[in-house]
Amino acid sequence: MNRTPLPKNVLGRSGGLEPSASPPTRRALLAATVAVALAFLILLGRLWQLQLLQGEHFRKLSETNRIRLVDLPPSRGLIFDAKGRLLADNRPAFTLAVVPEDVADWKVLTRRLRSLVGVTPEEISKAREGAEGQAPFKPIRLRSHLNRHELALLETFRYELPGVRVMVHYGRAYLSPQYTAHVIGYLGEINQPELAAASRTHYRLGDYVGRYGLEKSRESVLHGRRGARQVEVDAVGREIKVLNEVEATRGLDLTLSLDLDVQKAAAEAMAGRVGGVVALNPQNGQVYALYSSPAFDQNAFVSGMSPEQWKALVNDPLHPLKDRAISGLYPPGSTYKVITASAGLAEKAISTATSFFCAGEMSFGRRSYKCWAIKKGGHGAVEIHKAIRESCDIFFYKTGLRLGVDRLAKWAQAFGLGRPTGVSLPHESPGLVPTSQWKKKRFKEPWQDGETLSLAIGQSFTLVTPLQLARMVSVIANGGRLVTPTLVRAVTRPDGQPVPEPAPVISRVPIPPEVREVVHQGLVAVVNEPGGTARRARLPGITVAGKTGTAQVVNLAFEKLFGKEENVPWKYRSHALFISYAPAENPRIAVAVVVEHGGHGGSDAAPVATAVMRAFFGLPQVPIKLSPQGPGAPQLRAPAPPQPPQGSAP
Amino acid sequence: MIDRRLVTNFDWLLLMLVLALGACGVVNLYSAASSFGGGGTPVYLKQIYWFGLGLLVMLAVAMVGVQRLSSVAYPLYILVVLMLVAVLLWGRVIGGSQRWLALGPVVVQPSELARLAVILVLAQYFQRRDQNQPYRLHQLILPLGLALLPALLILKEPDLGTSLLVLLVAASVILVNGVRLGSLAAAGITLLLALPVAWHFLKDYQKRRIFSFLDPESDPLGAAYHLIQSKIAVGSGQFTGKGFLSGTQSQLHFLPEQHTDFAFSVLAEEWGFLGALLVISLLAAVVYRGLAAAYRAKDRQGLLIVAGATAMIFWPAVINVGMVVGLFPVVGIPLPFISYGGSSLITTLAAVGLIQAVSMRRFVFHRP
Repeated sequence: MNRTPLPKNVLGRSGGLEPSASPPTRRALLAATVAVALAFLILLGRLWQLQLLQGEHFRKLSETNRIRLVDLPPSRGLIFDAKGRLLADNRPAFTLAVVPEDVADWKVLTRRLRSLVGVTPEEISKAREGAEGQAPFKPIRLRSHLNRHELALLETFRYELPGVRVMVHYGRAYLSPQYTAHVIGYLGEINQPELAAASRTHYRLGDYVGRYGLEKSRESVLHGRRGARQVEVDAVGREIKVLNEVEATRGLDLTLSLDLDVQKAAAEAMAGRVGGVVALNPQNGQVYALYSSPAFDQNAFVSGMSPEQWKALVNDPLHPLKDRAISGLYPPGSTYKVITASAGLAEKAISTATSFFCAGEMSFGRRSYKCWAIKKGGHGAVEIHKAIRESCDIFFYKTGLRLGVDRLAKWAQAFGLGRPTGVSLPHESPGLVPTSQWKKKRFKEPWQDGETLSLAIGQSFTLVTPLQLARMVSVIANGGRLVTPTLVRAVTRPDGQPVPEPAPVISRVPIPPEVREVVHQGLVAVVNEPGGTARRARLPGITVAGKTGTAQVVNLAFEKLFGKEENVPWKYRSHALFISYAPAENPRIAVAVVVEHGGHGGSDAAPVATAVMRAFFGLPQVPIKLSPQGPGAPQLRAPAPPQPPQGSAP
Repeated sequence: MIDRRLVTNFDWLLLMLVLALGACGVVNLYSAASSFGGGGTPVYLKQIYWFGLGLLVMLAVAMVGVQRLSSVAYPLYILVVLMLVAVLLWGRVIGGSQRWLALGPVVVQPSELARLAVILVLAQYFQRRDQNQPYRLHQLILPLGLALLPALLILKEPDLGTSLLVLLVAASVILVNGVRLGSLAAAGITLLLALPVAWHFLKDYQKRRIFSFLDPESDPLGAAYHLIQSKIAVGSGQFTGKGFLSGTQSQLHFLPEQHTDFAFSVLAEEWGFLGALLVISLLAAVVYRGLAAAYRAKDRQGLLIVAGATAMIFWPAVINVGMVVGLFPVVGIPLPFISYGGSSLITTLAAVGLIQAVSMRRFVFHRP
């Protein structure tokens, strides 16, 4: 230790310098000196203990200790449809890797790999650079997703390729990728922010996580828990013996309420069309089909897409990645009359005796409001039953006026519009239910009564998703209950033990039974009575109830510019909507269909719903005849028959 | 330009000690990272480059002097805090935590700068107050706050080790400056009470490390594995070690982070108790040169800066070796001079520069 006298003596007080260490500070420094000595002595004592007293013990341990940890990633839970058919599986995928310490001659290896599987020297040097600082017995990945031919070549020449390894791991494979793309979704490699947020016990770099659909929303259930294995290795680090193992726990399996037959029927009926289809059990909300068109190939995400493929998918003007069934927003059109009718009756704005006269149009303010039946001179005297059956606009204009925007909004909300349904899928849209307050806030303008007229027939600001429509019509089907759509019927452990799921929320809608009955009878008439707008939706032996909707995209005057209806370009055509349920006496399925720019609800959306119902009731399918699409319609491929994915993965 | 007295008063012994430690570090890294594959610059060579750069930083800090550095203490402190915030917002993520900030082509780790800034700002604060009485607790609220702000920001990255070091270094400066015994006791009690709160802020893996330290058997496949393997490495070195490049624990990669946080286990395995004794003695000697320089500093500010700089070497040394021999839980703190790592090396040598700067000027009378 340095014993130089304090500089204070040297400095004196000249120059106005303070004395260096004031007494408390000097005491503190002395205390620090002692503390530091003590700390280092403790460390040396501990080293003495470990190295000299217990050194022999640890030396033996180190000689016998060849224990290393091996990570055991869990395998992902499987996904089945309602009838036990596998939708998402884990299948082996093969990766070409090189163990640097076993490579005899890099030049020879580079040449051979190029001629055998076409790995370029650049790829190899890049992979080696990426693995800099890594232990030499750790394999460097060169190429994933080897095909069978490459695999066979590598196996054949295995002994001439020292250092080359083919690694097997289990990757995701979707068995009906054309039908389940949006519902089941896909996986992606975990990124840094996700890794930082995730628990380190469960996720490592290189793991795959759900990125879309149920794969994303049920990630925590599907992922499973990783394990680890203590292995004994030899002098160069190769595994000899397993000493201790905490097994990986496989993720839990999901059995969906989704029925592949029904889903397939929806997909095929929507072939070449854009839109969304939802079928669910109106009694409990279990979803039978949820399809968005156009779809995409889930397996392309798994096996790795080329940048061009990805760009094409993202820049596709039809946005195939968007799930229209839960996030497509559409004006409800005449399907909204279910709400106007229920609200009018329940609020006593109208009664079953109320009759309005429809001359095909009515004037309000300075404008004329038309009924769609203007060409045939209007509906004449109309009461509620006929109004629903024939979708008379005049009747609902007048009912809407008696109700006002805010009472309509109250009932729209009671039927579940304007907020997410709560289905466990990512990116669900809440839709929009306009109120007078909303308009003031949004546009700084008061609500106009004329807007109430449009609102009452579903043409105003209201926006809904197909899933919300299916839930809305279920309220009439089940007698006044608002269900929460669910996709997962059961979560099971690998040993088959079920894991309890929280019961789905079902709330009551304050609709009086007699009101529900009137609306219900109206919806039955839409399909079954002469004059109904959806006569095509009938099924043999089963009474179907439904409501058509045709939501204008541009106003009628603009549409007229194109002359005949078939000349209207695709993008200006109305959206076709249809909501329905069956059997009317005891509804077991509710279906909502939106066909973007499809034309008319009765002719273009109802047949899709019929196809879905036919699949559900096990009736034979009949060919669908839809009206021709207008000029500029997108050319969509029909879903190809699913190819069994082989070795696509991880 | 350069005062001759600056050269004669330069602590050449301290420089020798530092060079010796650097040499030990490079030799050890040659072995610790020798079995790593891949191409590129070998780790030991990179460490030499960093060491050279660090020596330049040390000289620069020594030449600039603490007076001029202190005059920008507050702006520097604010800059560091802003950079820490920027790291959280835009930082580059490496190994699961966000510590680096890209400024053009240079990637900096502001948490390393934080310790230097906190020392300078605290020394400036106490110098201005110029109070010879020991401080009471309520008088320490502001200086404690100055230390806590960057420490919490670093903890959020998350980097428990560096955050802890900032607090320890700041505490060292505050303690050397003088705190009333009663206040000290009160602070100790507060700290104990604050522990559950701090626990809440720890990440899962950090909690697990502490659990496995308290009960190594609880998790033989996880964090405790590192601890067990490190103890085996150190213990099996015995008195003379297994010999250079012959440590089985390190060469066969049983040790985690063996060229960074666990570099000392490699050293203790290959060079035995003798090697460990040499390195610990060198570290202790550096710390004592620092304490001596503090003792002889001509004013409070210089004294506190040197005390802080010394603490910057002492604490990571004790914690790292303590961790390697199983006396502390595993926290990611590198061993000064020995562990691989550019930012840690440069920060450490900057601290040595601060010690030199004060030490050199103890006989210089002019005031700026």
